[in-house]
This record gives sequence, structure tokens and C-alpha cells, in this order.
Amino acid sequence: MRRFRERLGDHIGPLCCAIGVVAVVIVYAVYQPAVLSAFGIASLANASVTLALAGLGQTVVLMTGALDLSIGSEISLVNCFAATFMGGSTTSIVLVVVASLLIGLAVGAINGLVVAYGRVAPLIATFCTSFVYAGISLTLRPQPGGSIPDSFANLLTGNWGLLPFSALLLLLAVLVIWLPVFRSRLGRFILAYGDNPESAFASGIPVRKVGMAAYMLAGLFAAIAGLFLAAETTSGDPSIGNVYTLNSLAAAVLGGVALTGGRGGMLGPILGAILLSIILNVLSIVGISAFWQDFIEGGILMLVLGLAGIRLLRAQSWMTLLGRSQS
Amino acid sequence: MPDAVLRAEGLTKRYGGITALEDVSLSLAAGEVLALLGANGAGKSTLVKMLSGNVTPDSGSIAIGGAERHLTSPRVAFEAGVATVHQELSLFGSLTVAQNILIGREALGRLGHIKEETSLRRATALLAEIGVPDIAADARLGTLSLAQRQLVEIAKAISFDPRVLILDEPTSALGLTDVHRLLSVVRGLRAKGRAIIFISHRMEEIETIADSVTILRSGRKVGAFPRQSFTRDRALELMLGETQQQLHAVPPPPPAVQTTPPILQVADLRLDGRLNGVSFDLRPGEVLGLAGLEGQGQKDMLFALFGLFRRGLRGDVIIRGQARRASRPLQAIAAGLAFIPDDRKNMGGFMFLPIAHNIAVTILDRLRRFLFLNARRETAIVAELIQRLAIKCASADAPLGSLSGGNQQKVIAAKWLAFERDIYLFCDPTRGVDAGARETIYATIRDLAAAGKGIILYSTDMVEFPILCSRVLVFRGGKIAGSVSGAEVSEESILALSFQDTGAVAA
Amino acid sequence: MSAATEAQPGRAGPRLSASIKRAALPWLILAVVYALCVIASADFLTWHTIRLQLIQAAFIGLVAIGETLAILIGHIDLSIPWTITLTGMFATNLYAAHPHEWVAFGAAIGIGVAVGLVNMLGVYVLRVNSLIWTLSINLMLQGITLIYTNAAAPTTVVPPAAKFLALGMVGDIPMAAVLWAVCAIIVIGALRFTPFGRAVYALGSNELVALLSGVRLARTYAAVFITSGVMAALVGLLLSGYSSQAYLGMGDDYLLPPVAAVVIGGSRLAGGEGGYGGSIAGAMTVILLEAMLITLNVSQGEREIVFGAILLALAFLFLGRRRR
Repeated sequence: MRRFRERLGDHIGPLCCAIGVVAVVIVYAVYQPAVLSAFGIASLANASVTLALAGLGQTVVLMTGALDLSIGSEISLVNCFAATFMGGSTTSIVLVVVASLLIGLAVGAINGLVVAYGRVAPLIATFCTSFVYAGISLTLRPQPGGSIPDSFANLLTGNWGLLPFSALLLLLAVLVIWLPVFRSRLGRFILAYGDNPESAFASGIPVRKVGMAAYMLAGLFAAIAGLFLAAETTSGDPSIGNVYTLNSLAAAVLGGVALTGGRGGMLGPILGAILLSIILNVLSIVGISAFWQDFIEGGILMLVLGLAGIRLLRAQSWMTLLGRSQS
Repeated sequence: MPDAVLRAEGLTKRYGGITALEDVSLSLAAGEVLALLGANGAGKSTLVKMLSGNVTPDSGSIAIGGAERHLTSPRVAFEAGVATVHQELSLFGSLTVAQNILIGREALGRLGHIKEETSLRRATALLAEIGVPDIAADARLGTLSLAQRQLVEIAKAISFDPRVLILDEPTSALGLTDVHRLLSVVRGLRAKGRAIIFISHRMEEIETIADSVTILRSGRKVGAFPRQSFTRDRALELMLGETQQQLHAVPPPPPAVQTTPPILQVADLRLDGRLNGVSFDLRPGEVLGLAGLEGQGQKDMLFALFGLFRRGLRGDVIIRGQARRASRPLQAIAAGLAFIPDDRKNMGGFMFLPIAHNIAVTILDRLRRFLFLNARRETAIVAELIQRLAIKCASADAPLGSLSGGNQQKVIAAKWLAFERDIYLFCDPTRGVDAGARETIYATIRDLAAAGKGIILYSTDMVEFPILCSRVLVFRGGKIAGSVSGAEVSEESILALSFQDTGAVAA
Repeated sequence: MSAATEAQPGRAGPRLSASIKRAALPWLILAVVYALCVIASADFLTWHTIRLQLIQAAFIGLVAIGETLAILIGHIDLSIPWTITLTGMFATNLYAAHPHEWVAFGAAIGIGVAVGLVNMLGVYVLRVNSLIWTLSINLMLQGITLIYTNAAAPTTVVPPAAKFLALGMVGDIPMAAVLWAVCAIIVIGALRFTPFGRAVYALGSNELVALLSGVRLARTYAAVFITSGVMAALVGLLLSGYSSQAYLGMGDDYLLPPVAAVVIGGSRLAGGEGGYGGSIAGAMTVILLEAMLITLNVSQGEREIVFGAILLALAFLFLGRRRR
């Protein structure tokens, strides 16, 4: 029984998100039965995958007890890079994809250097770097534009029967990046470091390298998200990633990832991302105008952050309450 | 002794002018349990930190297995074969027992993936080795009790296969059944030939487990004998030392006249597990001491009175006849309480702000004239307090952090002299404070008592109780284990009450 | 808890001169940036150009009042951009319908107070990190503005008082600069000479110590965030006066620059150290930097890189290190 409750506690975030997703899809289907067609599923998947990838990246950093406010800018940067340099030939597509992933790792490494080695507070550091990355995107591409070859776009956004390729991309990212990392020592160290930094240091964990690796992984996920956005919109837009910074946080927290670190998985943020994306999609279907989008996103964020805050308010002593607020 | 596994010679450590450890030597054979005994601040923790690589000695040497080693970091100590179980555990609540034990040393597969099965088997074997097979290796650590976590920490230490195992007060937070269990684990380890240093405040544990006992006092080794010749009286005597020099001529204030109504009444105060029903009265002009070993609830008592616990506090706090149990410091201050904490940096003062601002922070509302601060009155009040407490500073505008520890403490006390309250809670006010500042703080406490204030003093330095307090409550396990008053207040009586059998604690 | 060492009287000397150096540094930076501007273009020597920059700096400087307070208590306010835009849109529309000055200014103050209270709710009551919370509030305000403008078309009717405050002249000095100077004197005075100022520094230095010393935290938090909200709202009105209309995105340039102004001004991002005097120099520096980069035909993207990098460098050097 104790084990069961313990397990439930672990999975309460993903579970609630899953229930939420089912509920919202039912509402969706009532208003628009076409959503259950191959095209409908593909478009829902396409709408969710970017946020899911961003959420995964954010989660890796959250698990170390830090935060990444530059994820949105990283996505924009890769998006602009890909739309600017991707030619039509297979060679150039492959080259640009590889370069994009390397850019993701590099910008993540910069964040990691500043936070883990420069000892600048994570929020301030990534807030500053987000402007640097945004500036680079804007320099690359002052106006939205550029082009993406159809072959690449179709590869990521098409579907095979009921199975959208975007879902396969997410699955691939999980299989090739997430699972290997969290089955290895690095993943263990990330969780341990977020759980208790002092114990981690005392246990001989290379804490700075771990912090750095977390940001690099976040950058990698952001790069994949940026590439997918490029395929979806077939263009580059220097502000396309902005919304993903805070929404990735919301997706992760909705999915049960603790802001204080040491806890989280991949299912939660993915389901959280799907839930958020579908909610925003449903709004337009049920007749709420697009003007409400930001308002509702902001409202969801406030709600999620507020709920996370209320959890903290259970602290018994003022020392722990005031100690934790300055992260 | 050629077969000594650990041999330390002449270990000395000084922090500035204060000697933490002086010329301490000890040697330890395989299969021996050495108990380390001493009052608070006797140097036990410094010695442990040296052996575990957290502190390097100023002089002296440490040899392990006959070879001299420089233990410059915890890692080096592990590699040299010394594993330490500290009081603060180095574990992770969200990982499983097996993951905790083998963190960083997991069995890896060819792809670099952790072989959880192998780890689980190794952890299970280790837990069985130390004799606690009932702790599941795949259970999450956060779900275990404190005692079980302590055992996991021991298993983690054993996984390094150390020759010397140091257990720093492993039983201090445990109930009787758990203590017995831990002691049998230690016995098992001894039987397997490990050398063990065991630190505890509980005499009967030492009597059951130790092969030899070493006693420290004020950083020196004052006694070492085999178990056969160990007696409690002798140990207490050595821990206290010869008759204390009577440095302080001023006699303690007379016991409060019982006819004055109490200024503060505490009735059955409880805080889940940390305070288990504390009741006492405090009368005006009385200096009430809270004594006992560290972490027995004295500090929680002061925190609770000052409203530092937001929830979970039960029982009554009555101040001048009114129910004033506080869940916020502002309520406590309004009820007439002042609190001088021991942790100067985190709870005491604003290190980067000027001394004057630190003192005047409590009287901001009273200094208000129209919209502004009455600067002239502030300067006068601050100057008067700096002089009264002999605070050594270049000017009242110097940042608090530029002062010595003692003068910082005086500034922190001064802010509650600027804003006079009825009841003063002193939480170990002389910790890390030089002799001159100590005298000033003692004089301040006496002056406050003479002015009819009620004072509660918690201290880790037992010398202070006889010279300051008219009554002392000795805490054990979150309860008052006994009290002494008037002429009975002495280090001996307090120590005897502090070190009584644990039977009562476990209940 | 280590050894007690006696206080060294000599230490206060270098400390004092260090604090003077600290106060002088922002002005030195300003002087250097101004010199660079003059090198880039001799126009910067004319009063006409300086006057234009001064008006821009006044807007940043007014917003930086709230940002300075927020940073001094160890937090940050990133809800400024859309507070500006929402106020600009809402107050001018309201004024068009009810042409009384007090309606517009009343609406602005109302919005500012409301935003401040919501920020305080999240940061103080729920203890959410201020950077994330105020950024979310910014998004929320953006949403509200979009919903509002969908229903109400922007207007070019602007309260004359706002126009006068933004564009008017007192002799040869812009009215905005005069307003800025008055507000600056009030803030510097409040921080130095009032109980509120003491509470701000106490709270930013160590919140737990402030709590234990009986500082009224809720009141201080509220005052800080409400001031920030009201200043942003006021600037929203002034900006509508400046361009004779309110438009979507008019506050977009007020996310990073106010923070940069405060940080260049020498306030520590972790709180408790600094003041508004430096922020004045910081605001001018930020505006001059931007003007210089524009003069040199540096693109908007590259300007963002420069600002982000400057802030990062300052945070790395001494201002935003983690507290231990």
C-alpha cells in the first residue's frame, strides 16, 4: 500500500495530464469530429511536439535545481539558422541538421559555463544569454523568411496512416537522447545533484560538469525543436521561439517536475506539453478568438506557478520558507 | 603497537587564537571500537574532521596501516581507507537505497548504461553484510525512517571497504530499539575486523560497545582507558576537569521571589517530535538557563517562542496572563519578546549594512518623524549603545561584516536594547566570541535581569549556567529531563542530568 | 564560528573609499560612453541631440525607479513592458470617451497599483521566483491588452497633460527631464532618509534577519511592487503623449534596458546594495549606448547581443553571483 501510494505520488503529474488530455480531446472531438482523422491527429501532434521537446530540455535543467530562460531563444536561433542555410540537396540538409544540433550543444555549453563555472545565478545568467541568442537570430534573419526544402518539411511533418512523423521524431529524441542519458551515470548524477547539492559534492560527484551537461542537453532538445519548427513553418522567424521559454516551464511543472530539483521524468513534461498545446488549439475551435491566447497562456502559467508556490507554503519554519525563495 | 590500523600522533589545530585541538594522539587496532567522549566543544568534531579529510591539522601525523597519509580531502580519506558517517547524512531522498549506496560507483554495461540488477544485488549484499537485510535495496530513501537512513549511510561507508569506520553520533536521533539495532550492526562490523571510532553522548552505549574510551576536554586528550576500568563518575570528572577557576566574581542574581507573578508561562508545548510537552514559568528578573546536549530541543524551544514555526506548534504560551503563542516573529515581538540568535550571518545581522542601520532596524517606526527618520535621535541612540556595550568600530557607518565576531554579537544584542522588550531569548550568544565580548554580554544579561526583564539563555558552553542563571532546565529528547536552581546550579549537576540513561528518551 | 579577531580600525578607510568608487563608477562609465558617442558623431555635442536623448533617458529612468527598488529587495520586475502598453492603450481610450485629465491619470495609477499587487501576491505570498512570476504577468498583461484592443480601436486622442510632460519644455529643458529630476530626488530621499528606505535595504540584505528584526515585510514588498507598477503605467501615458498615440508593442523596449540601467548603476542583482543615484547614470548610459549603436548602423539584433553581453559581464564580474 505504501509502495502504491509512493508510486502514485510519483506519477500524479503525468496521470493528471493524461486524464486532462483525454478530456480535452473528447471536447475537441465533439466540436470537430475531424480531429480523429489522420490529418487531425497529425496536426495535433505537430502542434505539441515543439513544446514537448522544449519541455524535455527544460526538465533536464529543472532536475538539477536550476532553470533555463534561454530555451526560447535557442529554438529561434536554430530555426533561423536552418531556414537560412538549408539548401535543397540531401548533403546540405544533413550538414545543416548536424550543424544545428552542434549549435544547440554550443549555446547550452555557454549557459553551463556561465552558471556552473562562472557561478552566476541560473536565472540571471540564462536571462542574459537569451538576449544574446535572440540578437544572433535577429542578425541572421532581421525579418521572418528563408526557406526550407519540401523534402525536409515533409519528412518531419507528414504522416503514415494514423501515425504522424512528428510523433516519431519525439519518440526518436526520447530513445536516442533521454533514455541513454538517464540510464547512465550522468542521469543519476543530474537527479542526485538536484536532490541535494551538498550531498552530491560530498559523494564525489563532479557537480560542475553535471550542471554543464544539463544545459547542453537542454540546448540539444531546443535545437531539435527549432529544426522541427523550421520544417513546420518552412521558414525562419527570430521571434518564433519566445513563447516556448515560459510554456516549457509550465509543461514541466504541470507534468510534475519539481522546481526545486531532484524529481522528474520524461512522460510528465511530454503529456503536459500535449495538454497545453491542445487546450490552446481547442480554444479556437470552441469559438474563443485568437486574441485570448496570450491571456489564457498567462493564466495557466500563473495558476501552475501559484500551485507550485502553495506547495512550498507548507514549510514548517520561516527559515526554510525564506531560505528557499532565493533560488 | 605494530598492528595499529590507525595511528594519529600529536594532532593540533588552531583557529586564530583559539585552540580547537592540541597534541592529541590515538591508535586503533583492527576489530577495536574506540569511544570518543567529551562535552560540547571538547574537540571531538575537529578530530573527526581531520580523520575524514575535511580539515587538515596544523601539526601532527596520521598513519593508516603503518603508512603516513595526508588526508587532504574526503576523497583521499576514502581512498586511504577511512570512511566517516557524519551527523548530516550525505544521501539523496529521491533515489533508491541501492542508488544511494553505490552513487558514482555503479556497475556499468558495455553501452555505459547502469546495470541496475547488479547494483541491486551488490547493495542487498552490503545491507546483509551489516546485518540489516530488512531494508529493501530498491526502496526509495525518502520513505525510510531516520534510523534506517543512518544504516544506509553506514552501508554506503562500508561499500568503500574501509579499514577504519568513524561513526559521529550515529545514535543521537534514534529511539531505544533503533539504538540496539545499530549497536549490533557495529558489533558485527567489529567481528569482521574493522576498526571503529564511535562517538556518543550516551554512557550506557559506550559501556556496551566500546573496547577503549578516549576522553577529550578543551581540545586535549585527558584520559584513555580500556573498558574494564571505565566508570561513569570517572568519565564525568575527566570531562569536567578539575575545579573550574572562578573567573567571574559577580554572583548570579538571586532566585526570583516566588510571589511575583510569572511574566511567561509555557504549558505543554509540543512540536512534532522536536518538543514533547515542555512546561515552565519565567519570572521577572530571572535568568533561566536551557541546558542539555546539543539538539535536545532547547533551540527549538526558543525558536518556537519567537514565532519561527509557522505551523505544528501546540500548547500554551502565556505572557502577562494573555495567550501569546506566535506563528510569526512580528507577533512575538508585539508580545514583548526579543531574540538574539547564534547564527550571526544568516539570522543575526545585515553584514553589508552599517552598524547604525543594524541597530536601528528594530525602532524604525519609533524614529519616524512625519515621513522621515529622526536622524539626530538615531545617531544619539546608536552612539549611546555603542558606548554602553563597548562595541569596537571605526564608526557607526562601518559595515557590520567588518567587525569581529564578538563585536557583531554585541551589535545584534544592541538592536534589542534600542527596542526594549520584556523577555529576552538568548540563543548561544557567546558562540565563537572572544573573552572581552563575553564579559560584556554577561554584564548585559545581568543588567537586563536587574531591570526586571525575564531572560531565557540557551548555551552550548556549560560554564555560563552557574555564573548567570538562577535556574536551569536540562533538556533531553525534547522534554525537560530535570531542573536545578539556586546553589545547585553547577556544571556537575547539569552534566549528570544531561548524560542520564536513554531509556526515557526512547519512550 | 572561527576565531575572534579584533576589529581593525583601519579597515573602514578603504571601505569608505570603495563605496565612493562604487558610486562614481556608473558616472565614469557614462562619461566614457558619451565620449564614444561624440567620436561616433559630433551631433552628440549639440544641445538638440542631448535634449532628445535626455527625454528618452527620462522614460527609462522613471521606469528604473521601480526596477531599482525591486532589485534592491533582491527581486526583479519584468512586467513593465506590457504594463506600459496596456496603460497607454486603456488610458488614452478612456480619455477619448471621458475627456478629463484625471480620468486618464487615474486609470494609469489604477492599472499600476493592480499590477503591483498581483506581482506582490506571487512573489511575497506565494513565494514564486520574481523573475518567472513577473514575466508571466507580463504575458498575462499582453493577453489583456490584445483582448482589449480587439474590442477597442486605438485612438490618437491623448491627454494634453501627458503630451506636456513628455514633450513640453521648461525654458530650454525638457519637461520629462524635470519630472525625472523631481521623482529622482523623492526616491533618493526616500531610500536614504525614511524608515521605508531602511526596510528596503534590510529586506534585500537578508530577508530572514529582517523578519526577525520586526521589519514589516508585506508592507515593504507591496510598496516596492506598487511603485514599480505605477511608474511603468505613468511612463505608458507619457509615451502615448510622446508619439501622440498609443500602439501595440510600445513597451517592448522596456524589458532589458531598465534592468541594464540599474545594474550599470551599480546595484547588486542579489539585493541590498546600491541605490537610485547610480541608476540615473545607468539610464543615460543605456540610452546613449543605444543611440551610438544606431548611429553606427548597428542592427537591432547586434544591439541585443551587446546589451545581453554587457549585462552578463556585469553579473559575472560582481553583481549577480549566487549568495552562499
